[in-house]
Amino acid sequence: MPEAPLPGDFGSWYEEHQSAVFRYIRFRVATREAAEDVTSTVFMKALRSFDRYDPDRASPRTWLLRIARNAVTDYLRSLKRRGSLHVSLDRIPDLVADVPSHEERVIKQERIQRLLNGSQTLRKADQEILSLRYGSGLDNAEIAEHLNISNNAVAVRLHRALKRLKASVEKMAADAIEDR
Amino acid sequence: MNDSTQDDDFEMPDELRALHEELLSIQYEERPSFGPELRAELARAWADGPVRKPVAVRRHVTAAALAALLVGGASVPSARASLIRLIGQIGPEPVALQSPPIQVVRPAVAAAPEREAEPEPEPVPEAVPVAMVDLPAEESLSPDIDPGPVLIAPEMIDRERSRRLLQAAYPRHLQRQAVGGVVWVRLWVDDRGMAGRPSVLHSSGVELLDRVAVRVAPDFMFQPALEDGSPVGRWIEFPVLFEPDSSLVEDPLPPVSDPLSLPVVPRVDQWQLRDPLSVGHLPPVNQISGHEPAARGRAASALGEAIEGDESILQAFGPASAILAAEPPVGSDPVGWRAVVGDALSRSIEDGRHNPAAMLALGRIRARQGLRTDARSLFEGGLRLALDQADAGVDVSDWVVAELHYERSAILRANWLASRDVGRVRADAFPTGTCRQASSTGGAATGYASADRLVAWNFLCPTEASRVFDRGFEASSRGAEQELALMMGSLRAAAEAFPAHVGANTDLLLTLVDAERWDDVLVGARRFTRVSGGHPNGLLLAALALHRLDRTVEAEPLFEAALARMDQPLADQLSYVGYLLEGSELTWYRRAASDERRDWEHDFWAERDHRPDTEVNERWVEHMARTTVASFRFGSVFGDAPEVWVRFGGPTTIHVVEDGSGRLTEFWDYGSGPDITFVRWKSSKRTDLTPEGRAYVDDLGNIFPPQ
Repeated sequence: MPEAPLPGDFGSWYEEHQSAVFRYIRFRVATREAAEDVTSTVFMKALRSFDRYDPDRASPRTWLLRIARNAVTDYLRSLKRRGSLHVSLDRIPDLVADVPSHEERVIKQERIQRLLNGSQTLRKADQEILSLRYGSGLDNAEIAEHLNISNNAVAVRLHRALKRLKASVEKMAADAIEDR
Repeated sequence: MNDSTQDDDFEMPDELRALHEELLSIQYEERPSFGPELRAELARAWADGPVRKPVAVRRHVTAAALAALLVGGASVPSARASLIRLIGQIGPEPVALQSPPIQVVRPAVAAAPEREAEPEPEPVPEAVPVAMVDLPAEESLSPDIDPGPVLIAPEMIDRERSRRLLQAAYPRHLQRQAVGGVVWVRLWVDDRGMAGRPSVLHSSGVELLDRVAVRVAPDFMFQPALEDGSPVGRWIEFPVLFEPDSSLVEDPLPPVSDPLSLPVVPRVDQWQLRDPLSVGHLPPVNQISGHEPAARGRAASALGEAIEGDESILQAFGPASAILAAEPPVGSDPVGWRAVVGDALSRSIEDGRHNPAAMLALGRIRARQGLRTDARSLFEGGLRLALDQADAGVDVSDWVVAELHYERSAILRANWLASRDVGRVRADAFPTGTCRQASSTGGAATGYASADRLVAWNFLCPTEASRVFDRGFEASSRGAEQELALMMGSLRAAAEAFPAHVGANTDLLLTLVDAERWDDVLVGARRFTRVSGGHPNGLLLAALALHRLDRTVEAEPLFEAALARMDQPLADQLSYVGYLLEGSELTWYRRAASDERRDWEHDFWAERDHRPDTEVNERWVEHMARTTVASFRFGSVFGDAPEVWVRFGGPTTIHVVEDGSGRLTEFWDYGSGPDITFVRWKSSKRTDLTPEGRAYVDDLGNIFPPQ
């Protein structure tokens, strides 16, 4: 069954970047369902403003990821009004789906839970660069293009964000031990 | 887009490397239907006019309600009680692989008279399993009634995922034979919701289905049981219904014993196999085979994982996508590149870091190095590994499986081409004294005529030579039919694994074209066109079949649509009329730009429409049919064999005579007059006229100028 048409290149952009946008969002939000809803919002917004897209200002991916960043910000802001952003263990099974052993899966779920919760304590800029790198899967050059900064600046920012994430995760682990 | 083997990770400080690797290892499992659903929503929104507000993707109502309540109520017993009431209202669905695919029959939820000792989860015989009962009555869950200690049984979450797991594991051959059944499975769900210790309570009567159920069930995901609000381990028992996919069962295809049968692939949406293609509803060109690039990306990522220990290889010889394709990056020395990359892949495979993608890449490299036996072993090894991994629950890329089958088919195809139509002509089949100029057959030593003598007889005494072929041609017994069956099996498997696979579908349909199975070509081409989003190869082959079935009116728009949807150089080839021109006209045509040619060709064909009273130009359609076959069969419309095919159409019969040196001589029979003779090397598509054949074709051009 032929797919229904979308305007101009929008269909091919969707095919090409939908996955990266989804993963970028999934890295930032607690559940797959939320990631799907935010992804839907992003592409619907993009479709609405498709006629205003200016190829001289940004590549399609950069444009879509910017919309995604704003949509995630809006979503997280709305969550803050309603309650916790904390990621619980039962909400991340889709991130460890390829681990065959149940024990390994539990261990990995716990690790990812700590990483995602740790990343939420970071500054927005750190969260952004980590999402682009480890969510969307962009490499340093692609991130540099997206953020309009040099490759070197990306490497420095990424290292700093990772350092802060490491410190955050270690602190959360230490707090957990104290709580026991 | 990047994968875990990115170059720029090279400078990562050691203290951050583990964290970096861990972040890279996160897998993002997207709901398979999400992308298409959202795309459909976007298209609907666009088609409905101005897009006014964001529209969330609609999910199945039941699934969405369950998911929302499960997530929201994960730690709130009262919410879960609401959920159970909701399920009660929905009703006890049968546990089915088809829609609805899975249902865990909900156990009793009210007071548990016999409470299991926990956390001991041992499956001892006397352990009391969670009862298999119908869904609880709503009033029993009313928060207004104190039921005492409340036990809430484990609850399956993400039913869609469970359905997919089962669907993937349900053997297709059983579905084709309409074999299904119900398997009752027992599982332990611990206090973290992890399932294990599966066993069959009641067999389906089909051992394979029982095995599949037990293998897949531990991968289902559950909310743990709750006792007074605290998670506890519990047994759960539920039926899994395997119901064959009716589209597989009902598919009106020839039996699989037919070596030329079409692949069994799912239908797209609601169309029937014999529904005509509607050109007006084809998706835009940029959506053709839209999923293939993503599949390639995932396969390249898997390949990167296999050789991640050899990062220097990726840095020096990558990217992974180039290695997967066995194509050196621009500017590389191809021989050296393949040698080094091949060694690196061999090492990774020997070290046990192999995966199907790595075996695909190495097989391709070996094939390009001329090691076809090694290559075939690697492709077959990759397929076995993919099967093992799928059995173990590892997600194996359908595209990689299809590529492994397709690469294997390419090797088999070469074997088949080397033996197709090949035979020898007995020397005693030549009548003595009937062709004075060519009395010898050249077959005194072997008892079979030499190819050169056959060519001579063909041009000196064509009528007698034709009788000689009828009487004395003996087809080679080197297993062309077996090679053909193996090749078709691989092509079918490739198309079944990845229904939009261009190469597999095209080769498969071309084989049917050779066999003149036009009904099958039409069915297969329509299906390929639909699943690939309107690939021009599908349109061309559907049009060809329609034309050969005397449905030229339907064929013409499909040829036009195909030309509009392909790259300009290929469209130029298929439209090429140079073989029908002479003199200054030909000179001008060869020098003209594409758009000039298109205008000129339009007038050219309009003048040659020998039946202007009909709504189609039959002569143009016939020309397109010829260029289509020539282009697919010989890889291009340029060359001796395509020229003959385009000018004179396909021959009635082709006899191929082997002379023992690997050179094959082809005799194309067009009825009266001599056959047109060609030479080619075994397994090669390139087919050149013999000198005699060239002279004869030129003579024909002089006698019957191209019209």
